[in-house]
Amino acid sequence: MRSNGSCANSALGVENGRCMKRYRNLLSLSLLLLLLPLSVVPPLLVIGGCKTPSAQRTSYNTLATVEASTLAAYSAYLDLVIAGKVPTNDVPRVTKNFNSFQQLMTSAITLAQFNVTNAAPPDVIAASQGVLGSIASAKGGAR
Amino acid sequence: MTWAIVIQLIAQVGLPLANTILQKWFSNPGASVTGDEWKALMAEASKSGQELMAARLQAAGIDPASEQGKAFLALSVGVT
Repeated sequence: MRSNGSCANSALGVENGRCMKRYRNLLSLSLLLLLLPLSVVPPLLVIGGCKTPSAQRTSYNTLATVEASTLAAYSAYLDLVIAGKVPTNDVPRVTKNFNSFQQLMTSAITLAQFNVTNAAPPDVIAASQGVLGSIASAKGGAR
Repeated sequence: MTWAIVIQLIAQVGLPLANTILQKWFSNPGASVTGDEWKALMAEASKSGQELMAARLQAAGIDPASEQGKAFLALSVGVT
């Protein structure tokens, strides 16, 4: 009987041996293909410091929200100062708080790109509250 | 915790900025954060008080290099 390439039709021991070898090769290849993602992807995620996209998005959106609101509040305060509607006395204090906040935010962004557990570190939130609070007191309730 | 932050921010900065805050909060849900987004956020966070004062002066039509502009910039060094 002549082999047509199908192992089911092979009757000779030699043919069976070839088929077994082919099956083993296919099995090895399949296992390799299955295990490759499992062995390569997790280390890459660890090296890259990635979190799941949604967790990283949450971190980013939270930091971006805090940054945007603090920046907007500080800019609005400066507009009032420039327009002469708010006294200039508190500008150095508010600006000092703002600069401290920006420094903390820069550190938080750097950490968040790699790995953080908190969406926004409490010290960043506290610094933002400090800026907003000092602006509110500088305005003297004349919002 | 994060929703509490958003609500607190809106309460503090006022309703006119609520739209901006909520847009930031809800942008691209589920999508991974791109390198450009991180860079843009980092650029915002790298601005100093003095740089923002200069920008606001220009927006108000005041030259930061003028005497008045310099006086404002001197205030915004951030040293008490």
